[in-house]
Amino acid sequence: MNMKTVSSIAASVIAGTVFAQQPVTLRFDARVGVDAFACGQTYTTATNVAFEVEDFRFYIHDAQLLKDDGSAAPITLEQDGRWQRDNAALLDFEDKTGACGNGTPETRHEVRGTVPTGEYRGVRFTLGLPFALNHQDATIARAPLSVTSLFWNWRGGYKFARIDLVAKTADGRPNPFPIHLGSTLCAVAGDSAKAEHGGGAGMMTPPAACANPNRVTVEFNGFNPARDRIVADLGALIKGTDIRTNHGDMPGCMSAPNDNDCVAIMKNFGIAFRGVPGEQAFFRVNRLLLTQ
Amino acid sequence: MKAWRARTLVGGALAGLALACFAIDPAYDWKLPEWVPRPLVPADNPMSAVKVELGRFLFYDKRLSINGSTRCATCHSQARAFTDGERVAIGATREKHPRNSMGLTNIAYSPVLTWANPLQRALETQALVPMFGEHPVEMGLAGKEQELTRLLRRDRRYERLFTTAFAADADPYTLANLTRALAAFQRTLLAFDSPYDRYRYGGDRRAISVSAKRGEALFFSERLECFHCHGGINFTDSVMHERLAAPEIAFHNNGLYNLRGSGAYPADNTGLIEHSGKPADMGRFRTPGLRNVAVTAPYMHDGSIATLSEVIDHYKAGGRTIHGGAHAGRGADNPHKSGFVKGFTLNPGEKRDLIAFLGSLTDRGFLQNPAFSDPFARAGAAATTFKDSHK
Repeated sequence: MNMKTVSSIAASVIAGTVFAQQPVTLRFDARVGVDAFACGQTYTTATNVAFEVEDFRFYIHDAQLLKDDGSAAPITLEQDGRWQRDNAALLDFEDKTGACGNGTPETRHEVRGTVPTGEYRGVRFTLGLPFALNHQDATIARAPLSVTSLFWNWRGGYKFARIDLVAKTADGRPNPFPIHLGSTLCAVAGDSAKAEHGGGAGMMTPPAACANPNRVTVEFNGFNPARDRIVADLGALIKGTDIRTNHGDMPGCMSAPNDNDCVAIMKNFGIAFRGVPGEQAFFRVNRLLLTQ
Repeated sequence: MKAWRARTLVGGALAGLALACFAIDPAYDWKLPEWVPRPLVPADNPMSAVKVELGRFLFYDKRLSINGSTRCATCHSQARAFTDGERVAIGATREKHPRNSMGLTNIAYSPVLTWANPLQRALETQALVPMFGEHPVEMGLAGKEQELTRLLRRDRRYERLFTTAFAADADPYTLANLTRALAAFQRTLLAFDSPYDRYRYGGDRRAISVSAKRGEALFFSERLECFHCHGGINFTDSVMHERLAAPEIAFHNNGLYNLRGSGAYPADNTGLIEHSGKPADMGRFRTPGLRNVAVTAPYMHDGSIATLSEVIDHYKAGGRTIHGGAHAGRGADNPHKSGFVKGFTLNPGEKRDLIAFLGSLTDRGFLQNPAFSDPFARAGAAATTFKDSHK
């Protein structure tokens, strides 16, 4: 349990006599444009490229509800030992069927927790994992940080989002196009001072900072958690990207600063990349759907 | 004992990030010659004979790959000082890795692992890359953690070894314990009994040839400058052990490429810049140690030089010139090249001497040590495939 959780629980315990807590569930909905997402389904891009999806999972953290006056109430996440830990939660839309064979049958479409009782009209959360969780020792991490498919050890962290596509090219050959979002250019403290002859850096130290954290905070006003859903739209994410070929040496977009296939995708995530400012389009709110 | 405790406390301070410091393991006998400093191990993974035995079985177990085709030893073969003789490594699904398999000789002394990744500081966490990495696929175990745990639980030998090696754990069959055991085994892969060691440290003046002695003088000369990067007990400037106040970590550009005269390296092998983003880190790779170097061909991060003779030609020219194709360029002019790779004169006799010296670094006993060999061959227990064991 990290300090933040301890302090937020402590705060709610102290405040408990004055401010009661109410349960809150943030419902997420995976879509490809207007279509519901499902493994095994074939979709087409705006430019008529057919593709299948092999994986669709991402972490979020620091979820908050917002009041009219602009103040924010942190959602204290249920510590369920499976999908949520500390202030981070995994959302998992693949069910191991169809092309999603490397996934898990269990899915998770919501984030559960409590907030102080009140009227809320907005939501805010950050896509990805917080720094302290991202750079822990993955070998001993607890769920949902023990999912090996989301390990990203060569970058010293986790894949914040894993959305793997396979495009069908004109000649019928599949073109794998994985989208892996995560922090890059992470450095261990002391390494930056390294000279030609090397420097004395920490031994088993995790990175002290990442030049490209690649986290994005998303906020929606006019959001009613009891009624509305947060849509994660894969179609909006790949808008402007030609997924039939790889414009670089690595397949798809794997967050590397030199990955040409990341330019439009990072913009759609809402993350500045190579001087192009982010313009968040991946998430939107669906206010028309009623809860079941 | 005191030093151990003190370091453990430091490790405790870092426990918030679940990572430990390296320290001397006072209880373990490495069976090292007197002159050799002891390796350091993570405070939370002390050495033990049973842990090493467990790690040895895991290292040689094909069931630790997606299709039962591949084990750690596939790319790290003892007879080749734990390399594979291939230009680049080939994974369980036949996918090629962009880089050459590195040797594991004296890997316990390396404070940084793999060719150019400053984040890889411990064998325990480095093991996750070949196991679960997907670009490229090596062992191909991503998403298979449940099958993996089931395998460990159901195998009688692993049941005995895990419960003994990690007797204090309520559930010893964890990924953390698996990588701890693999790391412990790899830390025993120690080679300090080459002819050169017997000559230099053992007082045996006749352990190496006269030619090798001349080669030694050339290697340590200002004319050739080899020793600047290939120095110390393992002939590399990335090293840690009990007699160093802090680990040394270094990466160098040796002028292997200079694409279009821009200083660039091929896009799938750019070196340290991949993690630092700094233009000056283009083409900088970790200096590999030179113990057993005569049996670890081909050479360089991408296996692009076939023989030691050609490696020497490369350094003699101060960099490699490639005349045609996508990689054309004069490596000697690479703006990021190490100042010590400046080229030198060397006559054919001197080259033979230098090769004789490099050959004297081969520890034949290490290449044949039964303690490092395939335990399944001895046990006669042919492991079934990963798939079979879970049907």
